[in-house]
Amino acid sequence: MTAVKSISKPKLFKNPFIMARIKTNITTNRKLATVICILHAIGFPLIMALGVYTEYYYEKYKDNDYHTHYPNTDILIVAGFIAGILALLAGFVVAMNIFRYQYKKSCVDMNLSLPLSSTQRFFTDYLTGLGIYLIPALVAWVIGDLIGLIGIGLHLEDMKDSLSIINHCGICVVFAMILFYTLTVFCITCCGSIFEAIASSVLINGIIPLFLLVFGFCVCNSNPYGVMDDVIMLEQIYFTSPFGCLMVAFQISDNVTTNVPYFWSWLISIIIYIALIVALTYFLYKKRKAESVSKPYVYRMLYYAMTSAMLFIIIYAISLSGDDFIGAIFVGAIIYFLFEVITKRGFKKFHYSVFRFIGTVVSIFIIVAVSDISNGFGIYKYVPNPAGVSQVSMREYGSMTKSFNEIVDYGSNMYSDRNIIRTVTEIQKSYIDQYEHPEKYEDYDIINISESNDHNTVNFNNDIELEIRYYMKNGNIVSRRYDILYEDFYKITSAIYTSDEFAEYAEDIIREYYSRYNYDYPLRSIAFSESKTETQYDIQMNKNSLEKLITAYQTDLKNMTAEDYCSKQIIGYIGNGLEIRESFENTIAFIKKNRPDFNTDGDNFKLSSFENATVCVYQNVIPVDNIINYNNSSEYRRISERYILMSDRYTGAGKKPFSIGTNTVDADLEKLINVSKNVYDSTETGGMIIINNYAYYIPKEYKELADKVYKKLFGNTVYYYDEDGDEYYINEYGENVYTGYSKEKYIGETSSKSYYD
Amino acid sequence: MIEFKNVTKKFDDFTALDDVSFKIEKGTAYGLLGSNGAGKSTILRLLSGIYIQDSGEVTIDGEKVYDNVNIKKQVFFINDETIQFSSFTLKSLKDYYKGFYPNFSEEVFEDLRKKINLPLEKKTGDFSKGMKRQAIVIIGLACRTEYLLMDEAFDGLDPTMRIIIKQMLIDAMLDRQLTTIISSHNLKEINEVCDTACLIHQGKLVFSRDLDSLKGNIHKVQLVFPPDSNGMARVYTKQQLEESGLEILHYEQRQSVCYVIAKGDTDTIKTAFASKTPIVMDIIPLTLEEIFIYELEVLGYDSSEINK
Repeated sequence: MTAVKSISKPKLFKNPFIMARIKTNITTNRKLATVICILHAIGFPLIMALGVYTEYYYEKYKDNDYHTHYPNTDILIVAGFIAGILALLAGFVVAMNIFRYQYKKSCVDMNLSLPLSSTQRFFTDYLTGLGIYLIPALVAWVIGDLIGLIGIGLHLEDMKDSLSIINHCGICVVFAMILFYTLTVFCITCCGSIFEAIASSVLINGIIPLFLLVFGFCVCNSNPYGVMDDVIMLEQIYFTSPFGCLMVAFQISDNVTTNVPYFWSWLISIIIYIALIVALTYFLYKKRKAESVSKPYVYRMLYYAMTSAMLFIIIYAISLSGDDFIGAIFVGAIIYFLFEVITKRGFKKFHYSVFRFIGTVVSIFIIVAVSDISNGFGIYKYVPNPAGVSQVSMREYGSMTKSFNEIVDYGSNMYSDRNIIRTVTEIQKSYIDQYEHPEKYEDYDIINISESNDHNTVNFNNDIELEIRYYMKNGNIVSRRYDILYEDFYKITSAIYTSDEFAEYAEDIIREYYSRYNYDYPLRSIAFSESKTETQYDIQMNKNSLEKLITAYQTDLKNMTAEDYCSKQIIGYIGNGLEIRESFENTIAFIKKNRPDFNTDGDNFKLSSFENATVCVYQNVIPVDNIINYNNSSEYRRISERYILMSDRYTGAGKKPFSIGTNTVDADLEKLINVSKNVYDSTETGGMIIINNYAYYIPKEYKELADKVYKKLFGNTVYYYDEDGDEYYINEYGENVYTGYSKEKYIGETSSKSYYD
Repeated sequence: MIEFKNVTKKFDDFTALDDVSFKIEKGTAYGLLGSNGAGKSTILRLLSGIYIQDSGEVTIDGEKVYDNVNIKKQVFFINDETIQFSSFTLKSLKDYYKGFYPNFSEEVFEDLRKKINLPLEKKTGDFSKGMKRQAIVIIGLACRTEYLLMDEAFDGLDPTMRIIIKQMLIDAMLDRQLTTIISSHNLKEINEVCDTACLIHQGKLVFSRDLDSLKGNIHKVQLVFPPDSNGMARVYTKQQLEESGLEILHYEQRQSVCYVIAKGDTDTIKTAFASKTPIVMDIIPLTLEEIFIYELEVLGYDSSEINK
């Protein structure tokens, strides 16, 4: 043999074998990488370019027959989307190619005999594959962003905001890709043959979110107290599956998730999740023996987990839709045994398959039973620690109090004030305690009081349905819904209204009122309405006046104490629902300066100032609620306005009203209106008067007056029932007016016991 | 040095190797002989770090092989398949391995490639079986590892190419003390190339020794004994012959001639049979193939038994 002239020298890099492996992986997958690059180039950059292009044309021709010049880019956009989707799915092919020595026997020797440790081989292969899959996507993203920047340079409207949303979505898509790829590698590691590797990789992406979804339904269907009939496991779905990541991207694009901190919390969750899967995959990879190739499943736990989850999904989903347990089990059995026959390549030891199926079905029923018995595995007990809550939002499903839903409604406002969060959690705790230990609360007096049929009695629901949503610091969102008493509701609204945070929101609301348009013309005015009369006064103002109003209102809000909130009358509203209390000196001064005719007293109205209003007077007030009233002596025991027309909630509708107008003269009625209160600070009542759609309580000392007015105006009203039992009265025009009630509605004995007696 | 110490390897319920122990000195050419499914390929895969043993130790130069990069870079394994690199050209296959073996020599590769005239840019999938074998063998030699493991090394090679490849191996062994382990059913080639061999049967080691002493320790003996008092040819049974102290692997009596395969050197055999006063005693050395057949026959791996 001739003398050797040169020998390959070790490379400069610390580990030349890793570099060799990377190079080999790229070389052997270069065609696939090329295809992925082309798909990505046709995907996002093309769609961005088309978006900028159409937006540019819109800006250019929007005032000049845009539709004639509109560039038809539909086909290209569809092509771009298809290319993008194919590029996303390519992760599956990349992983199958890179790790083919895990399922293809002919590749085992060639790969495993190389001088690489299993650690080096795993991470090199994993990261090279990820690079082949992800780098073209990142490059496409950058190119798309550059195109977007061109759009910003062209001063295209909303391009900056769009780009921000797109980039947030881009992060979601990138992590969806990483998770998709990682799950595929995990499945390949657990399998030893190509069919099982493909099937498991495909199925796992559907099984994880579906299982969480159905499990959430299972928990929900146990009717755990307070837990909303909602998607319980939604937050878990978001970071455990690529599909969930895309849902987050969709929410961002749809402006649902606008809160950046929760986005970053989701990001941390998914990074940890991916890291855990990589760690598990590595552990299994290292343990795995070369001779396992060609076995259907190297680690059968994956197979058992997947088939059990599939059975759970099938059986629960089918039985949920139609209570058809037998049918569900039958369908589940077909699919289960089909998988068994395929993975076992026949009917070997089929009796074990039967035993496993029976065991799995029994386990599913046990899980469902335990969920039912434990009220959804005790999920209802969970009350977040206030220290772990970042923000809270609320929505009221009740009488839709004017100010609450307009001003405080969740989705619009989230509160991070510690007092608000603490109040909400304390109330939640108290209701859970009531639920668990009703025997502790002996001081209750009303449960399921029957509604009254007396025309001098108003029935009202003293509870509202409150939905709470906690946004946790760890990114989770916890939702609950409870029927709570108004007195507890007002603890929450008191905390909200007296917080600095609400004062800041109020500023935003006032500015929004100010920036309304009438067609194309800015109104530059804000409407103020009186309580009781609802007379509206538009005050025109310039920017300087606006700032003065905002300062005045914020000062008044910040000066309002919890006690003021409970006792000071609402004398009017700014816009659709910002309350003006009798203690709001600065705001009242502002109004008076601009509209001296605005009645800021709240108790000094003339009947003539009511334009075409209607009133109903009731001598008795009966609360109808289905929850235990546990605390008679709450300082918050008082009732505010309600919409009378919500007849399923406030059963005071349907009584014949009395019309008042500018020509009405009745001193007693006028006095009654003026002494009635919208902020009730007593436990005693003399009745209720409803003016248009709002209820006001009559203090007990005016009960005689209320009786007198009632008899005078309403005592002669004739109510009658038709053959169907529906109730009618005859109005001043001789018309029969249906009250909305039927004889059957009222069951049992009427309790005339006043709520406050 | 390669050492197998009490190695057991199982595949589920099947025991591929059962308490196998042997040593392979550096610079030797070691042949792995055995029936089909005996465990030869398993041994090679254990030595190349593909498999891990269930018990015992597999060491090279005192270090464990499995997951040991330092040892694995000294070992090149050529398996009995050629399909796994069908998508590679010879050049890309060379580049594939070059990165992993720091001692790879372009000169050696080129030199060997030209000798057997293999095209560089053609896909190996288009090669014949023999050409694929040649390709991987020259790459293995060009990697200049200390240990070269070959499973069915000469399978698919034409006679001329066999000679060429054998010469390449011999040159390498002489040139740089290459240790070669060859598994093959072609006992003639093992006989020509190897100096040491072991026989594996159903996972157990039958023997492991150098071929010269192996061949010197087993002989075919043809015996003719003097007639007895009745004038009939005297016949001894196998047990009677074993009384002489020899291990008889095979015994056959055809008329007056007794054919025996006996273990021992010529002197020992002569001395042992002398007491029977044969009139004819021819001691003939066996080929490796004959040794293989007769050793396995004792273990029940006998074609006449299988065909019954």
